[in-house]
Amino acid sequence: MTENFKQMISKSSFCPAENIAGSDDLLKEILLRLPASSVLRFSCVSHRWRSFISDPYFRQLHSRRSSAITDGLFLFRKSDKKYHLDHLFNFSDTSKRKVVPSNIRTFTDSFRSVEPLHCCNGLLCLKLLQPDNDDVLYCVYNPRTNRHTNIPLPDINDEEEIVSMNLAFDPKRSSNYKIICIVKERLGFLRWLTFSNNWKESGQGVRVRGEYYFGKGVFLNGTIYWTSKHSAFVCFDMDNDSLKIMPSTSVPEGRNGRKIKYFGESAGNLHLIEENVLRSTLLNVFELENDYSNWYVKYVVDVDDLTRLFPLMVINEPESLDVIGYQFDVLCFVDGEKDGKTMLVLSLPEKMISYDIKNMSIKELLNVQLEELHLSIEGFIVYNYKWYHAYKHVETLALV
Amino acid sequence: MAEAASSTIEKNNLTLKSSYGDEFVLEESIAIQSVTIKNMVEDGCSSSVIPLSKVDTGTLIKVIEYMKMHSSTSSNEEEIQNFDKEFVRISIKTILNILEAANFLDIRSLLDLCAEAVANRIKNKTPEVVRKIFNITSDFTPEEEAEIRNETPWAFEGDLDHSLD
Repeated sequence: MTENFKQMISKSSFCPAENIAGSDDLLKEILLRLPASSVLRFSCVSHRWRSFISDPYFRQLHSRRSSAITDGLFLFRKSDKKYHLDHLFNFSDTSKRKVVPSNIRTFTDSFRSVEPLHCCNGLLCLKLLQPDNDDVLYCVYNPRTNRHTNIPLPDINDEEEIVSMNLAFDPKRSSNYKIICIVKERLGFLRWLTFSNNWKESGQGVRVRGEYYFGKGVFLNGTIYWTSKHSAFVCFDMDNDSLKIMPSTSVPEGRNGRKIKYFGESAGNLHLIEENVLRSTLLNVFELENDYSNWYVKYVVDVDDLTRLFPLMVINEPESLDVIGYQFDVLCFVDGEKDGKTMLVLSLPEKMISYDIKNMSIKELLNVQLEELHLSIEGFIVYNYKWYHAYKHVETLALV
Repeated sequence: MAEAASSTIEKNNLTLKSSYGDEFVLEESIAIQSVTIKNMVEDGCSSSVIPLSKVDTGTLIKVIEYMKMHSSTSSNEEEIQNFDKEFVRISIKTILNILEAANFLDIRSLLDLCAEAVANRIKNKTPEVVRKIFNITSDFTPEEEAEIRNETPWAFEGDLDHSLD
Protein backbone atom coordinates (compact mmCIF):
# COMPACT_ATOMS: atom_id res chain seq x y z
CA MET A 1 0.00 0.00 0.00
CA THR A 2 2.67 2.47 1.08
CA GLU A 3 4.89 1.28 -1.73
CA ASN A 4 2.10 1.89 -4.24
CA PHE A 5 1.47 5.32 -2.82
CA LYS A 6 5.14 6.24 -3.03
CA GLN A 7 5.20 5.02 -6.59
CA MET A 8 2.18 7.14 -7.40
CA ILE A 9 3.78 10.25 -5.94
CA SER A 10 7.05 9.71 -7.74
CA LYS A 11 5.24 9.03 -10.97
CA SER A 12 3.11 12.12 -10.74
CA SER A 13 6.02 14.43 -10.09
CA PHE A 14 8.83 12.97 -12.16
CA CYS A 15 7.40 10.99 -15.01
CA PRO A 16 5.03 13.23 -16.93
CA ALA A 17 5.34 11.09 -20.05
CA GLU A 18 4.16 8.05 -18.19
CA ASN A 19 1.38 10.11 -16.66
CA ILE A 20 0.21 11.23 -20.05
CA ALA A 21 0.39 7.74 -21.42
CA GLY A 22 -1.75 6.80 -18.42
CA SER A 23 -4.25 9.64 -18.67
CA ASP A 24 -7.06 8.85 -21.07
CA ASP A 25 -7.81 12.51 -21.71
CA LEU A 26 -4.29 13.50 -22.69
CA LEU A 27 -3.68 10.34 -24.66
CA LYS A 28 -6.89 11.09 -26.56
CA GLU A 29 -5.75 14.67 -27.24
CA ILE A 30 -2.55 13.39 -28.84
CA LEU A 31 -4.00 10.42 -30.74
CA LEU A 32 -6.82 12.49 -32.21
CA ARG A 33 -4.26 14.74 -33.85
CA LEU A 34 -2.31 11.93 -35.49
CA PRO A 35 -2.90 10.78 -39.06
CA ALA A 36 -4.83 7.51 -39.34
CA SER A 37 -1.74 5.56 -40.44
CA SER A 38 0.18 6.59 -37.30
CA VAL A 39 -2.77 5.67 -35.10
CA LEU A 40 -2.88 2.20 -36.67
CA ARG A 41 0.88 1.83 -36.25
CA PHE A 42 0.67 2.72 -32.56
CA SER A 43 -1.89 -0.02 -31.91
CA CYS A 44 1.03 -2.23 -30.99
CA VAL A 45 2.50 0.11 -28.37
CA SER A 46 0.59 -1.54 -25.51
CA HIS A 47 -2.72 -3.20 -24.64
CA ARG A 48 -4.02 0.09 -23.30
CA TRP A 49 -3.20 2.02 -26.47
CA ARG A 50 -4.65 -0.76 -28.56
CA SER A 51 -7.96 -0.87 -26.75
CA PHE A 52 -8.13 2.93 -26.83
CA ILE A 53 -7.52 2.99 -30.60
CA SER A 54 -9.99 0.16 -31.34
CA ASP A 55 -12.80 1.91 -29.50
CA PRO A 56 -15.53 2.81 -32.05
CA TYR A 57 -16.23 6.07 -30.24
CA PHE A 58 -12.57 7.11 -30.57
CA ARG A 59 -12.67 6.19 -34.28
CA GLN A 60 -15.74 8.33 -34.75
CA LEU A 61 -14.08 11.30 -33.03
CA HIS A 62 -10.94 10.78 -35.06
CA SER A 63 -12.73 10.63 -38.41
CA ARG A 64 -14.66 13.78 -37.51
CA ARG A 65 -11.41 15.65 -37.09
CA SER A 66 -9.50 14.14 -39.99
CA SER A 67 -12.28 14.72 -42.53
CA ALA A 68 -11.34 18.40 -42.69
CA ILE A 69 -7.90 17.78 -44.16
CA THR A 70 -7.05 16.72 -47.70
CA ASP A 71 -4.00 14.48 -47.37
CA GLY A 72 -3.30 13.71 -50.98
CA LEU A 73 -4.67 12.42 -54.28
CA PHE A 74 -5.38 9.15 -56.00
CA LEU A 75 -4.75 9.13 -59.74
CA PHE A 76 -6.65 6.60 -61.81
CA ARG A 77 -6.28 5.96 -65.51
CA LYS A 78 -8.49 4.40 -68.12
CA SER A 79 -7.06 2.31 -70.89
CA ASP A 80 -8.68 -0.44 -72.91
CA LYS A 81 -12.00 0.29 -71.19
CA LYS A 82 -10.42 -0.75 -67.92
CA TYR A 83 -9.45 1.42 -65.00
CA HIS A 84 -6.57 1.08 -62.66
CA LEU A 85 -4.87 3.01 -59.91
CA ASP A 86 -1.71 4.72 -61.13
CA HIS A 87 -0.53 6.74 -58.18
CA LEU A 88 -1.31 7.82 -54.69
CA PHE A 89 0.63 10.71 -53.31
CA ASN A 90 0.46 12.64 -50.06
CA PHE A 91 0.98 16.40 -50.11
CA SER A 92 3.14 16.27 -46.98
CA ASP A 93 5.24 13.34 -48.15
CA THR A 94 8.62 14.75 -49.12
CA SER A 95 10.30 11.50 -50.07
CA LYS A 96 11.12 11.04 -53.73
CA ARG A 97 9.97 7.46 -53.73
CA LYS A 98 6.21 7.36 -53.64
CA VAL A 99 4.85 3.90 -53.50
CA VAL A 100 1.19 3.04 -53.29
CA PRO A 101 0.80 1.31 -49.89
CA SER A 102 0.89 -2.47 -50.31
CA ASN A 103 -2.63 -3.03 -49.03
CA ILE A 104 -4.17 -0.71 -51.60
CA ARG A 105 -2.02 -2.19 -54.36
CA THR A 106 -3.01 -5.72 -53.38
CA PHE A 107 -6.68 -4.76 -53.26
CA THR A 108 -6.74 -2.97 -56.62
CA ASP A 109 -4.60 -5.62 -58.31
CA SER A 110 -7.08 -8.31 -57.40
CA PHE A 111 -9.62 -6.92 -59.88
CA ARG A 112 -9.55 -6.61 -63.65
CA SER A 113 -10.76 -3.04 -63.48
CA VAL A 114 -11.09 -0.60 -60.60
CA GLU A 115 -13.21 2.31 -61.67
CA PRO A 116 -13.45 5.21 -59.26
CA LEU A 117 -17.02 6.48 -59.15
CA HIS A 118 -16.71 8.97 -56.35
CA CYS A 119 -14.83 9.83 -53.21
CA CYS A 120 -16.03 11.56 -50.10
CA ASN A 121 -14.17 12.34 -46.86
CA GLY A 122 -11.79 9.41 -47.17
CA LEU A 123 -14.12 6.74 -48.56
CA LEU A 124 -14.06 5.65 -52.19
CA CYS A 125 -17.00 4.31 -54.15
CA LEU A 126 -15.65 1.84 -56.72
CA LYS A 127 -16.99 -0.21 -59.59
CA LEU A 128 -14.99 -3.42 -59.79
CA LEU A 129 -14.67 -6.09 -62.45
CA GLN A 130 -13.86 -9.57 -61.20
CA PRO A 131 -10.63 -10.99 -62.64
CA ASP A 132 -12.07 -14.15 -64.16
CA ASN A 133 -15.60 -13.26 -65.22
CA ASP A 134 -17.67 -10.27 -66.25
CA ASP A 135 -19.35 -9.79 -62.90
CA VAL A 136 -19.64 -6.21 -61.80
CA LEU A 137 -19.26 -5.31 -58.16
CA TYR A 138 -19.92 -2.01 -56.48
CA CYS A 139 -18.25 -1.28 -53.18
CA VAL A 140 -17.34 1.36 -50.64
CA TYR A 141 -13.68 1.14 -49.72
CA ASN A 142 -11.65 2.74 -46.95
CA PRO A 143 -8.09 2.56 -48.32
CA ARG A 144 -6.56 3.51 -44.98
CA THR A 145 -8.05 0.68 -42.95
CA ASN A 146 -8.23 -1.56 -46.03
CA ARG A 147 -11.86 -2.48 -45.35
CA HIS A 148 -14.57 -2.58 -47.97
CA THR A 149 -18.28 -3.32 -48.11
CA ASN A 150 -20.05 -4.49 -51.22
CA ILE A 151 -23.09 -2.54 -52.28
CA PRO A 152 -25.98 -4.54 -53.77
CA LEU A 153 -26.74 -3.73 -57.38
CA PRO A 154 -29.60 -1.27 -57.73
CA ASP A 155 -32.68 -2.62 -59.45
CA ILE A 156 -32.49 -1.44 -63.06
CA ASN A 157 -33.80 -2.93 -66.27
CA ASP A 158 -31.91 -3.80 -69.44
CA GLU A 159 -32.70 -0.54 -71.17
CA GLU A 160 -31.36 1.56 -68.34
CA GLU A 161 -27.81 2.45 -67.48
CA ILE A 162 -26.10 3.67 -64.34
CA VAL A 163 -24.75 7.13 -65.03
CA SER A 164 -22.98 7.55 -61.75
CA MET A 165 -22.89 6.77 -58.06
CA ASN A 166 -21.95 9.43 -55.52
CA LEU A 167 -21.11 8.94 -51.86
CA ALA A 168 -22.60 11.10 -49.15
CA PHE A 169 -20.43 10.72 -46.06
CA ASP A 170 -19.93 13.38 -43.44
CA PRO A 171 -18.43 12.01 -40.21
CA LYS A 172 -19.28 15.30 -38.49
CA ARG A 173 -22.98 14.49 -38.87
CA SER A 174 -23.09 10.71 -38.84
CA SER A 175 -20.77 7.74 -38.98
CA ASN A 176 -22.97 6.16 -41.68
CA TYR A 177 -22.70 6.92 -45.36
CA LYS A 178 -25.36 7.07 -48.03
CA ILE A 179 -25.05 6.56 -51.77
CA ILE A 180 -26.96 8.22 -54.55
CA CYS A 181 -27.23 6.47 -57.88
CA ILE A 182 -28.26 8.25 -61.05
CA VAL A 183 -29.89 6.04 -63.65
CA LYS A 184 -30.56 6.99 -67.24
CA GLU A 185 -33.91 5.62 -68.39
CA ARG A 186 -34.96 4.88 -71.92
CA LEU A 187 -35.54 8.21 -73.77
CA GLY A 188 -32.90 9.90 -71.67
CA PHE A 189 -34.91 10.67 -68.56
CA LEU A 190 -33.08 10.32 -65.30
CA ARG A 191 -34.13 8.73 -62.06
CA TRP A 192 -32.50 8.91 -58.68
CA LEU A 193 -31.99 6.07 -56.20
CA THR A 194 -30.53 6.40 -52.74
CA PHE A 195 -28.95 3.74 -50.58
CA SER A 196 -28.45 3.56 -46.86
CA ASN A 197 -29.36 -0.01 -45.92
CA ASN A 198 -31.14 -0.78 -49.15
CA TRP A 199 -31.95 1.01 -52.38
CA LYS A 200 -34.94 3.28 -52.54
CA GLU A 201 -36.50 5.29 -55.33
CA SER A 202 -35.90 8.99 -54.68
CA GLY A 203 -36.99 10.81 -57.79
CA GLN A 204 -38.20 9.74 -61.19
CA GLY A 205 -38.67 11.01 -64.70
CA VAL A 206 -36.50 14.05 -64.26
CA ARG A 207 -35.60 15.53 -67.58
CA VAL A 208 -32.22 17.16 -67.33
CA ARG A 209 -31.00 19.16 -70.25
CA GLY A 210 -27.36 19.21 -71.13
CA GLU A 211 -24.39 17.31 -69.87
CA TYR A 212 -23.64 17.22 -66.16
CA TYR A 213 -20.45 16.17 -64.45
CA PHE A 214 -22.35 13.60 -62.37
CA GLY A 215 -19.19 11.66 -61.61
CA LYS A 216 -17.68 14.69 -59.92
CA GLY A 217 -20.42 15.62 -57.50
CA VAL A 218 -19.37 17.32 -54.30
CA PHE A 219 -21.03 16.48 -51.00
CA LEU A 220 -21.27 19.22 -48.41
CA ASN A 221 -23.68 19.81 -45.51
CA GLY A 222 -26.13 17.10 -46.49
CA THR A 223 -26.36 18.03 -50.17
CA ILE A 224 -24.62 16.79 -53.31
CA TYR A 225 -23.80 19.43 -55.90
CA TRP A 226 -23.17 18.97 -59.63
CA THR A 227 -21.87 21.35 -62.26
CA SER A 228 -22.46 21.45 -65.97
CA LYS A 229 -20.78 22.85 -69.05
CA HIS A 230 -23.86 24.59 -70.45
CA SER A 231 -26.75 24.24 -68.01
CA ALA A 232 -27.75 25.51 -64.60
CA PHE A 233 -26.03 23.66 -61.75
CA VAL A 234 -28.16 21.26 -59.72
CA CYS A 235 -28.03 19.74 -56.27
CA PHE A 236 -29.71 16.91 -54.41
CA ASP A 237 -30.72 17.31 -50.79
CA MET A 238 -29.97 13.91 -49.22
CA ASP A 239 -32.06 14.59 -46.11
CA ASN A 240 -35.25 15.48 -47.99
CA ASP A 241 -34.70 13.54 -51.22
CA SER A 242 -35.19 16.54 -53.44
CA LEU A 243 -33.45 17.77 -56.55
CA LYS A 244 -33.01 21.51 -56.86
CA ILE A 245 -31.47 24.10 -59.12
CA MET A 246 -28.60 25.95 -57.46
CA PRO A 247 -26.79 29.18 -58.39
CA SER A 248 -24.51 28.83 -61.42
CA THR A 249 -21.70 30.82 -62.89
CA SER A 250 -22.50 32.63 -66.12
CA VAL A 251 -21.73 30.95 -69.42
CA PRO A 252 -19.21 33.17 -71.24
CA GLU A 253 -20.58 34.63 -74.45
CA GLY A 254 -19.24 33.33 -77.71
CA ARG A 255 -17.80 30.25 -76.09
CA ASN A 256 -18.74 26.64 -76.17
CA GLY A 257 -19.86 26.56 -72.55
CA ARG A 258 -17.94 27.00 -69.33
CA LYS A 259 -14.37 25.83 -69.26
CA ILE A 260 -14.49 24.10 -65.92
CA LYS A 261 -11.09 23.11 -64.61
CA TYR A 262 -12.10 21.88 -61.18
CA PHE A 263 -15.01 21.57 -58.79
CA GLY A 264 -14.49 20.66 -55.15
CA GLU A 265 -14.82 21.48 -51.51
CA SER A 266 -12.32 22.85 -49.05
CA ALA A 267 -12.70 24.03 -45.44
CA GLY A 268 -16.47 23.84 -45.70
CA ASN A 269 -16.80 25.87 -48.91
CA LEU A 270 -17.57 24.91 -52.49
CA HIS A 271 -15.00 25.95 -55.07
CA LEU A 272 -15.24 26.05 -58.81
CA ILE A 273 -12.29 26.87 -61.04
CA GLU A 274 -12.89 28.08 -64.57
CA GLU A 275 -10.57 29.28 -67.26
CA ASN A 276 -10.70 33.08 -67.56
CA VAL A 277 -12.02 34.38 -70.90
CA LEU A 278 -8.94 36.57 -71.43
CA ARG A 279 -6.37 33.79 -71.62
CA SER A 280 -6.09 30.16 -70.69
CA THR A 281 -3.28 30.67 -68.16
CA LEU A 282 -5.57 32.80 -66.02
CA LEU A 283 -7.86 30.94 -63.64
CA ASN A 284 -10.94 32.20 -61.85
CA VAL A 285 -11.42 30.55 -58.49
CA PHE A 286 -15.07 30.93 -57.49
CA GLU A 287 -16.45 30.29 -54.05
CA LEU A 288 -20.14 29.85 -53.29
CA GLU A 289 -21.36 32.47 -50.79
CA ASN A 290 -22.15 31.13 -47.32
CA ASP A 291 -25.85 31.83 -47.87
CA TYR A 292 -25.69 29.88 -51.17
CA SER A 293 -26.92 32.97 -53.02
CA ASN A 294 -24.24 33.21 -55.70
CA TRP A 295 -20.70 32.47 -56.78
CA TYR A 296 -18.06 35.15 -56.38
CA VAL A 297 -14.51 35.26 -57.67
CA LYS A 298 -12.34 34.67 -54.63
CA TYR A 299 -9.00 34.50 -56.39
CA VAL A 300 -7.68 35.06 -59.88
CA VAL A 301 -4.58 32.92 -60.34
CA ASP A 302 -2.08 33.61 -63.08
CA VAL A 303 -0.01 30.55 -63.97
CA ASP A 304 1.81 32.23 -66.83
CA ASP A 305 5.10 32.31 -64.90
CA LEU A 306 4.91 28.56 -64.50
CA THR A 307 5.07 28.09 -68.26
CA ARG A 308 8.58 29.56 -68.22
CA LEU A 309 9.65 27.26 -65.38
CA PHE A 310 8.04 24.25 -67.01
CA PRO A 311 8.32 24.67 -70.79
CA LEU A 312 6.60 21.33 -71.37
CA MET A 313 3.37 23.10 -70.49
CA VAL A 314 3.53 25.05 -73.73
CA ILE A 315 2.12 23.54 -76.92
CA ASN A 316 3.85 24.92 -80.01
CA GLU A 317 2.70 24.76 -83.60
CA PRO A 318 5.22 22.28 -85.05
CA GLU A 319 6.45 24.45 -87.93
CA SER A 320 6.10 28.06 -86.90
CA LEU A 321 6.67 27.24 -83.19
CA ASP A 322 3.89 29.67 -82.32
CA VAL A 323 2.30 29.03 -78.96
CA ILE A 324 -1.07 27.48 -79.64
CA GLY A 325 -2.04 26.29 -76.19
CA TYR A 326 -1.05 25.06 -72.77
CA GLN A 327 -1.16 21.68 -71.10
CA PHE A 328 -1.98 21.82 -67.45
CA ASP A 329 -4.89 20.90 -65.27
CA VAL A 330 -6.10 21.54 -61.76
CA LEU A 331 -6.35 18.37 -59.71
CA CYS A 332 -7.15 19.87 -56.36
CA PHE A 333 -7.69 23.16 -54.58
CA VAL A 334 -7.06 23.52 -50.86
CA ASP A 335 -8.07 26.77 -49.20
CA GLY A 336 -6.89 27.36 -45.65
CA GLU A 337 -7.42 23.85 -44.28
CA LYS A 338 -4.10 23.76 -42.48
CA ASP A 339 -1.59 26.51 -41.62
CA GLY A 340 -3.77 28.95 -43.60
CA LYS A 341 -2.25 27.75 -46.87
CA THR A 342 -4.07 28.19 -50.15
CA MET A 343 -2.74 25.88 -52.81
CA LEU A 344 -3.55 24.50 -56.19
CA VAL A 345 -2.37 21.05 -57.13
CA LEU A 346 -1.54 21.22 -60.81
CA SER A 347 -0.90 18.44 -63.22
CA LEU A 348 1.68 19.23 -65.90
CA PRO A 349 3.22 16.89 -68.43
CA GLU A 350 5.70 14.78 -66.45
CA LYS A 351 4.91 16.16 -63.02
CA MET A 352 2.47 17.18 -60.34
CA ILE A 353 3.19 20.34 -58.42
CA SER A 354 1.57 22.24 -55.62
CA TYR A 355 1.39 25.97 -56.09
CA ASP A 356 0.86 28.18 -53.08
CA ILE A 357 -1.10 31.04 -54.61
CA LYS A 358 -0.41 33.47 -51.78
CA ASN A 359 3.37 33.35 -51.62
CA MET A 360 3.69 31.85 -55.13
CA SER A 361 5.93 29.03 -53.98
CA ILE A 362 6.09 25.76 -55.87
CA LYS A 363 6.64 22.27 -54.55
CA GLU A 364 7.14 19.30 -56.84
CA LEU A 365 5.00 16.43 -55.62
CA LEU A 366 5.42 13.65 -58.13
CA ASN A 367 7.35 12.96 -61.29
CA VAL A 368 5.87 10.71 -63.94
CA GLN A 369 7.29 9.44 -67.18
CA LEU A 370 5.78 11.25 -70.14
CA GLU A 371 5.33 8.04 -72.10
CA GLU A 372 3.34 6.62 -69.22
CA LEU A 373 0.73 9.21 -69.81
CA HIS A 374 -0.81 8.43 -73.13
CA LEU A 375 -4.26 8.42 -71.71
CA SER A 376 -6.90 7.91 -74.24
CA ILE A 377 -10.04 9.85 -73.53
CA GLU A 378 -12.77 9.70 -76.13
CA GLY A 379 -10.17 9.15 -78.78
CA PHE A 380 -7.89 12.00 -77.78
CA ILE A 381 -4.41 11.42 -76.50
CA VAL A 382 -3.75 13.31 -73.32
CA TYR A 383 -0.35 13.88 -71.81
CA ASN A 384 -1.28 14.95 -68.34
CA TYR A 385 -3.74 13.87 -65.69
CA LYS A 386 -7.05 15.67 -65.72
CA TRP A 387 -9.45 16.76 -63.04
CA TYR A 388 -11.53 13.62 -63.53
CA HIS A 389 -8.56 11.29 -62.97
CA ALA A 390 -7.92 12.63 -59.51
CA TYR A 391 -9.74 11.65 -56.33
CA LYS A 392 -9.07 13.17 -52.93
CA HIS A 393 -7.30 11.07 -50.37
CA VAL A 394 -8.34 11.78 -46.80
CA GLU A 395 -6.90 9.52 -44.13
CA THR A 396 -9.77 8.21 -42.08
CA LEU A 397 -10.41 5.45 -39.58
CA ALA A 398 -14.10 5.46 -40.53
CA LEU A 399 -15.75 2.06 -40.55
CA VAL A 400 -17.34 0.88 -43.78
CA MET B 1 -7.90 55.70 0.53
CA ALA B 2 -4.28 54.57 0.78
CA GLU B 3 -5.41 51.24 2.13
CA ALA B 4 -7.86 50.70 -0.69
CA ALA B 5 -5.17 51.46 -3.27
CA SER B 6 -2.70 49.00 -1.83
CA SER B 7 -5.32 46.26 -1.65
CA THR B 8 -6.07 46.83 -5.33
CA ILE B 9 -2.42 46.27 -6.18
CA GLU B 10 -2.31 43.15 -4.07
CA LYS B 11 -5.46 41.91 -5.67
CA ASN B 12 -3.93 42.34 -9.11
CA ASN B 13 -0.96 40.10 -8.38
CA LEU B 14 -0.84 36.42 -7.64
CA THR B 15 2.04 34.30 -6.46
CA LEU B 16 2.44 30.88 -8.07
CA LYS B 17 4.62 28.33 -6.32
CA SER B 18 6.21 25.46 -8.22
CA SER B 19 6.66 21.93 -6.90
CA TYR B 20 10.29 22.84 -6.10
CA GLY B 21 9.12 25.73 -3.91
CA ASP B 22 10.11 28.54 -6.28
CA GLU B 23 7.69 31.46 -6.28
CA PHE B 24 6.64 33.61 -9.22
CA VAL B 25 4.59 36.79 -8.99
CA LEU B 26 2.20 37.26 -11.87
CA GLU B 27 -0.59 39.70 -12.69
CA GLU B 28 -3.97 38.19 -11.96
CA SER B 29 -5.30 39.19 -15.38
CA ILE B 30 -2.55 37.07 -16.97
CA ALA B 31 -2.80 34.13 -14.58
CA ILE B 32 -6.56 33.67 -15.01
CA GLN B 33 -6.02 32.30 -18.52
CA SER B 34 -5.74 29.19 -16.41
CA VAL B 35 -9.31 28.16 -15.59
CA THR B 36 -8.02 26.34 -12.52
CA ILE B 37 -6.45 29.54 -11.16
CA LYS B 38 -9.47 31.59 -12.22
CA ASN B 39 -11.77 29.33 -10.23
CA MET B 40 -9.48 29.61 -7.20
CA VAL B 41 -9.51 33.39 -7.47
CA GLU B 42 -13.29 33.46 -7.79
CA ASP B 43 -13.69 31.14 -4.83
CA GLY B 44 -11.51 33.49 -2.83
CA CYS B 45 -8.84 30.92 -2.03
CA SER B 46 -5.99 32.78 -3.65
CA SER B 47 -5.31 35.29 -0.91
CA SER B 48 -1.80 33.99 -0.40
CA VAL B 49 0.42 31.80 -2.49
CA ILE B 50 -1.06 29.32 -5.00
CA PRO B 51 0.86 26.06 -4.67
CA LEU B 52 1.18 24.12 -7.92
CA SER B 53 2.45 20.84 -6.58
CA LYS B 54 2.25 19.17 -9.99
CA VAL B 55 4.27 21.76 -11.90
CA ASP B 56 8.06 21.93 -11.62
CA THR B 57 9.97 25.20 -11.86
CA GLY B 58 11.22 24.83 -15.43
CA THR B 59 7.74 23.98 -16.68
CA LEU B 60 6.14 26.81 -14.73
CA ILE B 61 8.59 29.31 -16.25
CA LYS B 62 7.52 28.13 -19.74
CA VAL B 63 3.82 28.27 -18.86
CA ILE B 64 4.18 31.82 -17.52
CA GLU B 65 6.13 32.84 -20.64
CA TYR B 66 3.23 31.51 -22.72
CA MET B 67 0.53 33.21 -20.67
CA LYS B 68 2.38 36.53 -20.77
CA MET B 69 2.69 36.44 -24.54
CA HIS B 70 -0.92 35.43 -25.03
CA SER B 71 -2.32 38.17 -22.84
CA SER B 72 -0.10 40.87 -24.31
CA THR B 73 -2.15 43.45 -26.14
CA SER B 74 0.85 44.80 -28.04
CA SER B 75 1.51 41.66 -30.09
CA ASN B 76 -0.42 40.92 -33.26
CA GLU B 77 -1.67 37.59 -34.53
CA GLU B 78 1.41 36.92 -36.63
CA GLU B 79 3.76 37.55 -33.69
CA ILE B 80 1.75 35.16 -31.57
CA GLN B 81 1.83 32.52 -34.29
CA ASN B 82 5.60 32.84 -34.56
CA PHE B 83 5.93 32.73 -30.80
CA ASP B 84 3.89 29.50 -30.68
CA LYS B 85 6.04 27.95 -33.39
CA GLU B 86 9.24 28.77 -31.48
CA PHE B 87 7.70 27.85 -28.15
CA VAL B 88 7.43 24.15 -29.05
CA ARG B 89 10.93 23.89 -30.53
CA ILE B 90 12.06 22.05 -27.42
CA SER B 91 12.48 18.40 -26.45
CA ILE B 92 9.40 16.19 -26.58
CA LYS B 93 9.81 15.43 -22.88
CA THR B 94 9.60 19.13 -22.09
CA ILE B 95 6.51 19.54 -24.29
CA LEU B 96 4.91 16.62 -22.46
CA ASN B 97 5.68 18.34 -19.13
CA ILE B 98 3.96 21.48 -20.37
CA LEU B 99 1.06 19.50 -21.81
CA GLU B 100 0.43 17.95 -18.45
CA ALA B 101 0.68 21.31 -16.71
CA ALA B 102 -1.71 22.84 -19.26
CA ASN B 103 -4.16 20.06 -18.50
CA PHE B 104 -3.86 20.56 -14.75
CA LEU B 105 -4.06 24.35 -15.01
CA ASP B 106 -6.81 24.07 -17.64
CA ILE B 107 -5.34 26.34 -20.33
CA ARG B 108 -7.07 25.04 -23.46
CA SER B 109 -5.02 26.88 -26.09
CA LEU B 110 -1.73 25.73 -24.55
CA LEU B 111 -3.04 22.17 -24.33
CA ASP B 112 -4.00 22.29 -28.02
CA LEU B 113 -0.61 23.70 -28.99
CA CYS B 114 1.32 21.04 -27.07
CA ALA B 115 -0.87 18.12 -28.16
CA GLU B 116 -0.50 19.23 -31.79
CA ALA B 117 3.28 19.55 -31.36
CA VAL B 118 3.61 16.10 -29.78
CA ALA B 119 1.47 14.55 -32.54
CA ASN B 120 3.60 16.23 -35.20
CA ARG B 121 6.80 15.00 -33.63
CA ILE B 122 5.75 11.38 -33.14
CA LYS B 123 3.61 10.78 -36.23
CA ASN B 124 6.40 9.18 -38.27
CA LYS B 125 8.04 7.37 -35.39
CA THR B 126 8.20 3.65 -34.75
CA PRO B 127 6.17 2.08 -31.91
CA GLU B 128 9.47 1.20 -30.18
CA VAL B 129 10.51 4.86 -30.04
CA VAL B 130 7.03 5.94 -28.90
CA ARG B 131 7.27 3.46 -26.02
CA LYS B 132 10.59 4.97 -24.98
CA ILE B 133 9.24 8.51 -25.14
CA PHE B 134 6.22 7.63 -23.02
CA ASN B 135 8.13 5.23 -20.71
CA ILE B 136 5.90 2.33 -21.68
CA THR B 137 7.00 -1.28 -21.45
CA SER B 138 5.30 -3.42 -24.05
CA ASP B 139 2.85 -5.83 -22.49
CA PHE B 140 2.45 -7.87 -25.68
CA THR B 141 4.20 -11.16 -26.28
CA PRO B 142 6.35 -11.07 -29.46
CA GLU B 143 3.73 -13.32 -31.13
CA GLU B 144 0.89 -10.97 -30.20
CA GLU B 145 2.80 -7.96 -31.46
CA ALA B 146 3.62 -9.67 -34.75
CA GLU B 147 -0.07 -10.48 -35.16
CA ILE B 148 -1.12 -6.87 -34.62
CA ARG B 149 1.50 -5.63 -37.05
CA ASN B 150 0.16 -8.10 -39.58
CA GLU B 151 -3.32 -6.59 -39.37
CA THR B 152 -2.09 -3.35 -40.95
CA PRO B 153 1.38 -4.02 -42.40
CA TRP B 154 1.15 -0.90 -44.60
CA ALA B 155 1.12 1.33 -41.51
CA PHE B 156 4.74 0.24 -40.99
CA GLU B 157 5.86 0.98 -44.55
CA GLY B 158 7.82 4.00 -45.73
CA ASP B 159 10.62 5.89 -44.06
CA LEU B 160 9.95 5.77 -40.35
CA ASP B 161 11.71 7.98 -37.86
CA HIS B 162 13.82 6.14 -35.28
CA SER B 163 15.07 9.19 -33.35
CA LEU B 164 14.04 9.73 -29.76
CA ASP B 165 13.33 13.43 -30.13
